[in-house]
Amino acid sequence: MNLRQRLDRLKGHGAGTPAREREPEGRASVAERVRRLRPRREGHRPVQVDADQSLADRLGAELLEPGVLGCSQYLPLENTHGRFPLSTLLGEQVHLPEAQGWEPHGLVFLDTETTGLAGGTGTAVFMLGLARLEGHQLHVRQFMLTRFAGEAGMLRQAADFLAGAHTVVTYNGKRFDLPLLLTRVRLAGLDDPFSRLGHLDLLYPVRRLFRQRWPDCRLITAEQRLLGFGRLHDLPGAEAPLAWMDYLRYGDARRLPGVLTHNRWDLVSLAALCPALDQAHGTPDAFGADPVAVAKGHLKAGLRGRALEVLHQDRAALDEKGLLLMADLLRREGRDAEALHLWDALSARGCVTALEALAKYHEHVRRDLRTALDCARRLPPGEAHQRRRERLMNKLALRAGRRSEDP
Amino acid sequence: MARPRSQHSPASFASDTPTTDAADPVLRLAGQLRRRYKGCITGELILPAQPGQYAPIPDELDPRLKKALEARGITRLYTHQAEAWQRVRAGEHLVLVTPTASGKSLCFHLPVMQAVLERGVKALYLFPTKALSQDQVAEVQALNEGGNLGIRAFTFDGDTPGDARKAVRTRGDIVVSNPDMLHQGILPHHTKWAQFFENLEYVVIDETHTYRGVFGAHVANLMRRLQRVCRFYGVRPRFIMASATIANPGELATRLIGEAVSTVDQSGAPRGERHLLLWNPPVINPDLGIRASSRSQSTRIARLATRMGLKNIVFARSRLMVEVLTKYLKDVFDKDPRRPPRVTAYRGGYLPTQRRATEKDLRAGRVDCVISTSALELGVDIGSLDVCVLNGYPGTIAGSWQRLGRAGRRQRPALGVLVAGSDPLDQFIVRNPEFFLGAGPEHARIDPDQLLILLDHVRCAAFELPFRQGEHFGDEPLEELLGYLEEEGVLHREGDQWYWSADSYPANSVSLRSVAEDNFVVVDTTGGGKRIIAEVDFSAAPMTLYEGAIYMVQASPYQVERLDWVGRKAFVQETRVDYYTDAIDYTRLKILDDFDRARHPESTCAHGEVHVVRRIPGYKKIRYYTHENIGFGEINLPDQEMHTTAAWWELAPQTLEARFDSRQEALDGFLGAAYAMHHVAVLRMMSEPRDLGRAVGDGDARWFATVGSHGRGQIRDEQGAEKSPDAQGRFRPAVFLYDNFPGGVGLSAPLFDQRVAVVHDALGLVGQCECTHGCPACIGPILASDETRGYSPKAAALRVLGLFGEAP
Repeated sequence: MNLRQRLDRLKGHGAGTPAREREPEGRASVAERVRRLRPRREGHRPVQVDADQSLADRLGAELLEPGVLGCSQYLPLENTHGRFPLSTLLGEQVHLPEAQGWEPHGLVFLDTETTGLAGGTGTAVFMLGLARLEGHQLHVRQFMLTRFAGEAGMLRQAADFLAGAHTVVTYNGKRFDLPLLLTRVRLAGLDDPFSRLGHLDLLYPVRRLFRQRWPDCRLITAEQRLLGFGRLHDLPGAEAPLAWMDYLRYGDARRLPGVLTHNRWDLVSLAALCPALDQAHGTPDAFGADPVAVAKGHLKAGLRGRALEVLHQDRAALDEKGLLLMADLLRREGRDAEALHLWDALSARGCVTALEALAKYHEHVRRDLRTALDCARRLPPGEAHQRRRERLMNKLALRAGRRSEDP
Repeated sequence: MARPRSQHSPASFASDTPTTDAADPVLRLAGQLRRRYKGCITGELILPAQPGQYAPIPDELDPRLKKALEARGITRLYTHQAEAWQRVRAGEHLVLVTPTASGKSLCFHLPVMQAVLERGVKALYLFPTKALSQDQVAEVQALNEGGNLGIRAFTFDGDTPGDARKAVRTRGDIVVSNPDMLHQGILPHHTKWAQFFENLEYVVIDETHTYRGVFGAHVANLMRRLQRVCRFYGVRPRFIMASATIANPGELATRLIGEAVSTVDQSGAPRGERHLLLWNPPVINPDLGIRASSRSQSTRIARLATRMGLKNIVFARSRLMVEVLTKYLKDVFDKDPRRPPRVTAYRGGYLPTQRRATEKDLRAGRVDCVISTSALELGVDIGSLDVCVLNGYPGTIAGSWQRLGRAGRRQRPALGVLVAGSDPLDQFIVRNPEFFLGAGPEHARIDPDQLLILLDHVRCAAFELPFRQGEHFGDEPLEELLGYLEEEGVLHREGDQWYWSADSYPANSVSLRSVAEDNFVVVDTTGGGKRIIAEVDFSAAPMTLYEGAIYMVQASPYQVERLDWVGRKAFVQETRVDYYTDAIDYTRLKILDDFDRARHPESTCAHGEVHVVRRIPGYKKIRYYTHENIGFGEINLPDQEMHTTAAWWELAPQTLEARFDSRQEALDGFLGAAYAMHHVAVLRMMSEPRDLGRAVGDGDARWFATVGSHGRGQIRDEQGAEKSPDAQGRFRPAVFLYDNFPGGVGLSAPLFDQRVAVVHDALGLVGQCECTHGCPACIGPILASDETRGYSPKAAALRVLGLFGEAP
């Protein structure tokens, strides 16, 4: 009994076995079929190069080395992507906290297409798309494998393209693309060209701005809602692995042009997202973004002044939380009058936190115990509030006592 | 009713006369038990004290390590520690077989820590459980502080927080983990561990004896994968393994790592005198063969020990029994809530913090009596105790000794008592003291080339690194396996390499603890929620998760409301019922191929490949305590089919005609013989009863036999319809013992090799049983009204066994 028959016998346990695992009777043995497959495959070796070349021709790419295709496009910066001319990339990016020390010519936009999303050493990168500014053009450079064995070559080509860059820009690259590339580089036994670079993962600023506002923060959503870019006849990213496997297994290249286009759109969107996100951080409300989240982003980057600026500018759009944050920042900036004004307005609307802030402010900063107590008395019942009231009354009584003792 | 005395005089295997040092409380207790409960003691063993054998600390040991040892008061080594040091330093793979509390972990810590200090190498420690991992890290830390070594030891398991993982990977000198984590978390991400693997010099595998059977076959393949990844990083680590006493530690270790391993098994640690008593509870109903419960006996012994101020441990076989025993003993000793408790329980299912606290109390001697499941069998450090009571036979000789080893301080005598329960295995053990006391421990068997397990790991290995032509992985033709996976669509062949080409993570669908990939999950829907409370093996699911079944989790009953067979889910609700359910199992086998055959004039024994069809037509509801049958339910499940291996015994047709009055009598005899043989075979194979299936039937699967609701053997055809034995044209019943995993895990060949012993042991089990017509302790439950048959099923079973056992 050959191994296939043994496995089929063993695997045929119970009715739960899916039908596809049950092979029809009378199939040739594994060994026989492997023999049948192997000579043809090895005979195909020289033909493979021809196949590579004809695929390259078909995709408008060049055959860089066995198993690796390269494909270049140069986009003039006058082009727009949705609402944004690519040239905005050249402007100074002042609002995006992550874009400190912005130097657009050192950026490399990066996006991969992989054999799957499972992660780990068994997921391969079959397409590596990169894009950089070259003069007044965006150079989109895509590498694609025609077989697994081309991987080391592709990674070397990519490393050459990265020379002189200082920052990689990705979408969800922190969790996905870069760890994966690191794995591939290690498996191929190459030096790691990625880790020496800075990394700007645009997913995080998008999340900051729009998490509360959008149903999700996928790149495609950001394109539609922020860039105003809609893809026509896009091959969904999830189908890319199958499109490539179809070529690998059956020589069916029909969906590969779609994968190239999909990947190119991803890259151009990355380039356009940078200035778009910068502007959205400058005037969040105008972009339907969350000004409070932007302010918090600035605070995290240590930019209190800028946080306050954003809140001021979008003051009309702020909710209670936003106003409280603003008052707090004003107070820290020493702009007490403005802070008090905000708290007063909020407490008049019944905001307990503002009332509490007022009570604290009057007690500890102004040392105006009576006003503090007035505020505290307006606080709703509660243990902590009660303690505050009692403490204030005690302090007042003490002060009154001290006065009366004075000669 | 007079209490019948045991028929057996205690077998004494004392290699020395008992010390009569009346001053020692342990010896006093042992003497008292011998005097007062003479009829219960069926065997005893006294192992003399052994002085320590020492060797100097090796000169080459790093002075900082020397200092660390001194800080712990160690100025010399035991001889086995010194031998381990030399062999590891000489570059050998090693397995250590030494008793509990013999300073085993120093055997691996010393050479590993020396190498870390010398060359900055890395080491991977694998323990079967998380609790043990934590103990080891604590021990390394203790040495670390003593010598200011600066060696970083971290655990890496499911509890390691995400943000700490990177530090473990890049900064850990010693990483302590478990096989499941290596399988699912480390190897499939080995590039993240590149730095670690490039410097990996030692792999330590503790509790090696637990890696047997299916789990062992998986772990052996896991080691193949680990070694393959190591080759990729250009390293060839040395393996240091430690095992409890089993018959073949060297062989097991060699099979696990696929390379020659040398054995160190002469312990130099001092040991006090040890007394072991085998204890059979007294018979209270001789007609039905009913004995007093083991529980009552175990609590009695623990009470006596605790009253005498002796630290003692009681091992129970289930979590429920732990709770029951704890309650009984607490009722005696912990009545006053103001005083710190003297009795405590320890088992799986308690929170880790609670378990750590109990371990600490035990080490500090603050507790007098602990009741535990096998959770404490493995090397958790709880210090040494004086008395160990086994409430029921733990299932293996090796396991018994490991638990008994919990009692025994270096300079003082220790006492162990094995209290038998009423099931056949226990009764066999206490009635055949020479089996337990005289024979060595069991062989641990693994079959790393079990085809389905091998295939699963080839799959995982291909994910980790592409396979190259000419590579080796296991003993089956690798290229055919790769071809199989290629056809399945998960591998892609390109020139001389096979690449992983599927979007999946194969390690997640391979469980190291089972053969078939599809486990069932048990989902509790009580109160509208959906909470997974248990996982059940595919092979066990039809017997335990049918609709209507009562499924027990930590002694709480849940009822299965719905079984989603395709989705592999059972939805259950908490319930309160006074019965449990027992599935009716119609199993028939067809012999496909016999590998080997032993013919005698009267009987034939063979082993080979079989096709098993199991149908579960219904279940019985059985009331607790009275065990009466209070109803039936139907089960609608697909037949379970499985190809596996089996050993079987048949009688020659003329013998059958000549030696039995009727086919019915022969059938009852076969069923009784099968019951007894199944239990003793489990014992011989060092396996669990569920690892081995049993059936009586015709080798062509035309009919099979079961014990019907009236206690009589019945013949049923393929459709499950009852037939008269006399209506069968061909009547050649056989006893089948089969490997209860798809493809088998290699149990049937050794079973065939031990065919004589199995029949001999079964004869002993049934022959020595004190019942008259048969009981659950020998041939299985029978009805009280046996006279109606006109013959005794026990006698019929003895006749069958006698004929099986007749050598030419």
